Amino acid sequence: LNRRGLLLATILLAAAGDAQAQDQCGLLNPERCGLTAEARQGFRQIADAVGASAPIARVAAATVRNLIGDLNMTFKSFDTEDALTNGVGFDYDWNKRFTRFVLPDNSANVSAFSWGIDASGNVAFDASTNPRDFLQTATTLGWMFSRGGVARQLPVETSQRIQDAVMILADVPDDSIADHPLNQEVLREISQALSTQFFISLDAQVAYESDQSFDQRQLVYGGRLGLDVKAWNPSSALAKLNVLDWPFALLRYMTAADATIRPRGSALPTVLVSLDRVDPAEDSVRARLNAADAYPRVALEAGFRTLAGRVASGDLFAEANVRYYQELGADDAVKQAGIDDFMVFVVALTGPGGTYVSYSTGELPFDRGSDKVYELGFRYRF
Amino acid sequence: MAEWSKNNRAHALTWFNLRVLDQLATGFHNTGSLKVSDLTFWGALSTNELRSTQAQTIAISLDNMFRMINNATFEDGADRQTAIQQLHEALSDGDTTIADLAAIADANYRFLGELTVE
Repeated sequence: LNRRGLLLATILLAAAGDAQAQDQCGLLNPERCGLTAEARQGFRQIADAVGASAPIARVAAATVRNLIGDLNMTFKSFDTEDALTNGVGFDYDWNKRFTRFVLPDNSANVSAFSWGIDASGNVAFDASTNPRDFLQTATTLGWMFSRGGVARQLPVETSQRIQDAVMILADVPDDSIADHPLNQEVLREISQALSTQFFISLDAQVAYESDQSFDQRQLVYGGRLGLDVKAWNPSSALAKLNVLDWPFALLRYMTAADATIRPRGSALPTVLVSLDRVDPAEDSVRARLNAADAYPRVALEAGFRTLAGRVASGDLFAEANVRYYQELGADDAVKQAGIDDFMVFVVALTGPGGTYVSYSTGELPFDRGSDKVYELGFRYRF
Repeated sequence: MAEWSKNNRAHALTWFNLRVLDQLATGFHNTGSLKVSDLTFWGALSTNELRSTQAQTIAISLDNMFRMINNATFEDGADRQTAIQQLHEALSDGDTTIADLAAIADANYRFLGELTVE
């Protein structure tokens, strides 16, 4: 152990010792960790080695105790399959997030900034015995913004009247409620106060990855933009212009799920656009093309789901999802192989009891191949 | 599953506001045991990131409706930031029941005529 590593380990161990009850597994009580005799002896040696600097470490640990309140550490022994080497060490997982909301009084608007740090890794006191020699420290910046949704605050008397009506409607059976005059009256009153909500989120992440000796290291980045618009007022132009929902508005009317033909502004699609750095380490196709280096990729996802109608046994939902991936600055060999862009489109009809049928076209990139989109079919809930 | 009672204003208004937002079409008595994954926005084909974005929109909308349509105030020790974050967390988990979601509303908002529990 070098001096810097020793001090860091001492601070972490002292802090962990403070955070844990005295009778729990830890450096002070390695016999309670369920370790082998060899591992316990290893911990004892480490404890002796760091003993001289422990008081300093405890001061440092006390200073940063609030910051490391969310630290999870597990002390453990490492044994390889061939049992030729073994060692002791710990893994850690720490995250801290600070969020600052801006919430004007008597307003539907919301803004929020967040900043977070996440760190995780696997550390062996002898690096050569570390079977998963990987540390990652990431910082994330986030911003979200929501405008509208409710246009104005209702007078207390109106709210009281709505609340009294809702308490009465709570006793009305499922199949009678939509046509109930009180329900229609309350919906009319509430709808007049609703407006279109615009929600935007922006997240950026930068991560530093290395082995525990920092001999191998790399910077990884990613960013994501989310857009969700909902026209909650059914009389708004945007709700009526939601052409994706027109066929289902007709189906809802025909199956008596809705009393009128009413496209839903709540069913406008949600969109995500992200920029990622992809490491194709296990992509054999790229390896054959000599294009196994990490590369930047833009991804787009749009999702839509709406009530499609009603049958005797329950509600039917229609769902569509499209994903598109485009590698930036792809080599000619990658383009010629047709693996620089991918698109998949899936539609599904979900019925009562969890049954659904779907159709999909296109394919996902190799690294997303295990996504749920390939697990579609008929599903039954037991 | 948390308690589900039509005499609880938070439960009744959570149910009705979700109906107004087109998230469910059931009557009150059949709603408490439903899960967030039964709400209209919850797409089985979508990624977690997309669903989380949609959950955030719904969480903010519910908060807006409780405060501005239902004229609810906040319980002692609760505030808008906490309420939105808790609603978002619940709406991001498909296994959360609507009764659990309503319990979060009950813990954070004081609705008209609601007595304060000391």
